[in-house]
Amino acid sequence: MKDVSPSRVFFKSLVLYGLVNLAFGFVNPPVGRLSIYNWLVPGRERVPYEREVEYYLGAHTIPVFEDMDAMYHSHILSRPKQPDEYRVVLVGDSSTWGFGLRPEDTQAGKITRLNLTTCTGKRIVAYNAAFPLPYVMKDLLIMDNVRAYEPDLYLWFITLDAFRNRTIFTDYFLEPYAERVLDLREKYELNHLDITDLSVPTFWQQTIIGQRSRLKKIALLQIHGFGWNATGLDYLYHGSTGLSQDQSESLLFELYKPGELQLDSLLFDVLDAGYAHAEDTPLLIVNEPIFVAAGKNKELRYNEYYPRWAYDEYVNYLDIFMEDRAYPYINAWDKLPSSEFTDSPFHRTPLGEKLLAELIAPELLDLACK
Amino acid sequence: MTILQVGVLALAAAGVGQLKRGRSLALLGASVFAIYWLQLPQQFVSLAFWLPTATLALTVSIWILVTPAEERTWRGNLSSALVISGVILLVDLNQFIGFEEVFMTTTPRLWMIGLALIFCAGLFAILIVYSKFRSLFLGTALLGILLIFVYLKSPELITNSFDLVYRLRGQAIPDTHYVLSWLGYSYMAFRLLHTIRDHQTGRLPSLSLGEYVNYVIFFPSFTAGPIDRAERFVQDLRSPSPVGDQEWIQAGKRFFLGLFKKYVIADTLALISINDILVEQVHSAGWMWFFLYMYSLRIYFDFSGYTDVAIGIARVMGVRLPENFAAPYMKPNLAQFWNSWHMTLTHWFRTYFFNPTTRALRSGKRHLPAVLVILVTQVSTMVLIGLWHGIAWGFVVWGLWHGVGLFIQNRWSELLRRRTMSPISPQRKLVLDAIGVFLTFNFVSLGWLFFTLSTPATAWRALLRLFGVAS
Repeated sequence: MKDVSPSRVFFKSLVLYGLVNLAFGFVNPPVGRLSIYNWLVPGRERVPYEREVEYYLGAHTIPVFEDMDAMYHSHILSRPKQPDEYRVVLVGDSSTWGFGLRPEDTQAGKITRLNLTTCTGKRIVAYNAAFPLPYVMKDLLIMDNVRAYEPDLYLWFITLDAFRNRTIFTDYFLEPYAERVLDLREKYELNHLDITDLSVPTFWQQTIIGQRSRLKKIALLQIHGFGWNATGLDYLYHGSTGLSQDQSESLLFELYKPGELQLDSLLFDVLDAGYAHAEDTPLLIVNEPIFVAAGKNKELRYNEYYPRWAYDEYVNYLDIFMEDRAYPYINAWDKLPSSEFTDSPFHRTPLGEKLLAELIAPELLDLACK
Repeated sequence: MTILQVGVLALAAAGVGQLKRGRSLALLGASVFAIYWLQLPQQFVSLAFWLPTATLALTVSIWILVTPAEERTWRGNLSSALVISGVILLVDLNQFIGFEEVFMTTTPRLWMIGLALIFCAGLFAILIVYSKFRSLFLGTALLGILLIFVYLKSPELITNSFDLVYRLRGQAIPDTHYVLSWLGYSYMAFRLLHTIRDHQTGRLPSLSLGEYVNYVIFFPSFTAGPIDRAERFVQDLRSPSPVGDQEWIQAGKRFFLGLFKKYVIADTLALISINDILVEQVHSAGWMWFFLYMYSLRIYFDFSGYTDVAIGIARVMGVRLPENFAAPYMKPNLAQFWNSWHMTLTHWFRTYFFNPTTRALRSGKRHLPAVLVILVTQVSTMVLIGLWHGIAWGFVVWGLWHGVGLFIQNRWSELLRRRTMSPISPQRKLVLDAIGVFLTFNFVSLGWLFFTLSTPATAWRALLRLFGVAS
């Protein structure tokens, strides 16, 4: 055998690895689109997500928020649209994603199971594209991304909490899409969007070394596909202890005291951007139901999240905002009994989802037939 | 071990391998440091310091017992003693240095180290001065090593003892699952027992303190084997194989192959390997088989990957560790599987348990039938191998599974040997071998259920589901 010099092997490997890294950085290939879902294993009914790392294994999932291609290529939404299908895409937070619910019991699942048909005879099929963060800018970004999957209608679930600027979400969710976020901000003049901490990834962050975490997650997401296929589970169902009807005396909404919440400085302009961005595709906004407590201090707070003063201000503001613009809108905040909430003032029971779906259905059909 | 730790150890090994002089001492220093560095944090924080220290104290004590007086001279062993004490002191001084990333900074106070050193010196002195009681000491050491082993492998004993400590301290018992992991004890115990037994039978060569401690805590193989033999290891240590270019290439290949097997293949397969949750979640027999096979592959790539890494690292220091795996899943029968799976472990059990037990049973006054001797020795050996992994019913059943399997295969082979007079054609042998590989792989895979699932009841449920008997 020909003698090989270890130092040459080492040097060549290093050079080759460096070149591959540079090439990857320049080309930035859409690795997230390589997916075993929807051909080797069935697509997921919602994007992969789990809060706790220790549950990834049992939930057959891993969140890949850094790569929307990977998220939605693992989703049934990326399947080709059938000719007789009217595609409704849902965006929103954890309540739309369906914490504590099986995929079929989420809002998308319930709408599909209503077996609605449009006036042209198309089947209404709802897709759960929500990612469990209450943040409207994230929803706009998702709407921008899922346009590629030919939605016929967007259903956007909102709540007061989603309109606040939060650095943690900028770092966490928006950062990987910084360039696109800046484009959208400029295009729709989203002046309230705080981008102080948003930085566009450098070239080095786009190399294999810089992207190693994302690439690993994409690979692991494919592996989890086998568990998903075998069990049909994408979430560990922990059960719920229910919510207390009694509330605290606190009047705080996050750090805001009564009178301090400047609603016109929140991200309501993102709703305008959403309608503009949807263009000809109808967009229906739903102010999602919240748990309304009936026990101690019920006159001070609706629930652990919202004191009455803040939420009432928000609802009034939203009603006027939507009415002024004549946007299709359902204000469903008080439309569910408190018994239909589970572990948070937003998370609903399967029956709660069904009731909400039935509430939305007429407006949805109306929009679909326009 | 994290991949970073493996990388650092590999670099350390490369450095040690390049030394022209003092290689053995440098290796000793690296190994002593590694056992502290790799030790996991413990429920009682200071144990992360005292457990590696106990490893060293135990090793030195056994060295005193198995080494002739003329070999235990200061002149021959002072430098090694200084290196060992120096590293212990250095690690303890981290409370002043503050390298928290390397080791904890809450190391015991210096006066405690002083007391420990005085205690150890007293112990060593007793072992040396009262050498006429050496047999008693050796017997006690043998028993002690086994008792510690039983303790470390029994979650119940650990829980009870920890609860007792909390009670004695007057503290509330925490609502946590206790973990006591004494780094490398399982493998260290094998090495110590081997030297004690070989000393008792006069087969152990004389080893200096440095050689002996290096053998027991050799850092590439300390945590996951292979289990080398002292006489072979020390040959390499005394005259290491030259580490030329080709050796570097081979070592590098082995090392990177091991890393890939362990950290890429095995860790990925871990996500789709059978576990307690999947047994409850999966309701299709086909998928159950899939996850079971993935576990079989995962455990192979995990163990053999670690072995490759250890062999690769050792090789750049001129030490050729024994092989541990030889394509075990390609073997046509269970006996051959066990001759190629974790080979150094099975070799150890064969040498120190199976063969002596067989001899004892066959040479006893009551002449036992050969078949019964085979059954007893094979089953007991495999049950002991099972218990080595942990004292739990699952490991006992796993041992029984293999023990009985080996016995049945032994009888079947015997029957075939008697009946088959004419030689088998190559084509027929190929077909028979393929069937044998398939059956052996599946038998071994089914056995893993008892090994990996938390209880035999869960394993039994999984077994039924695999065959579509239970939903």
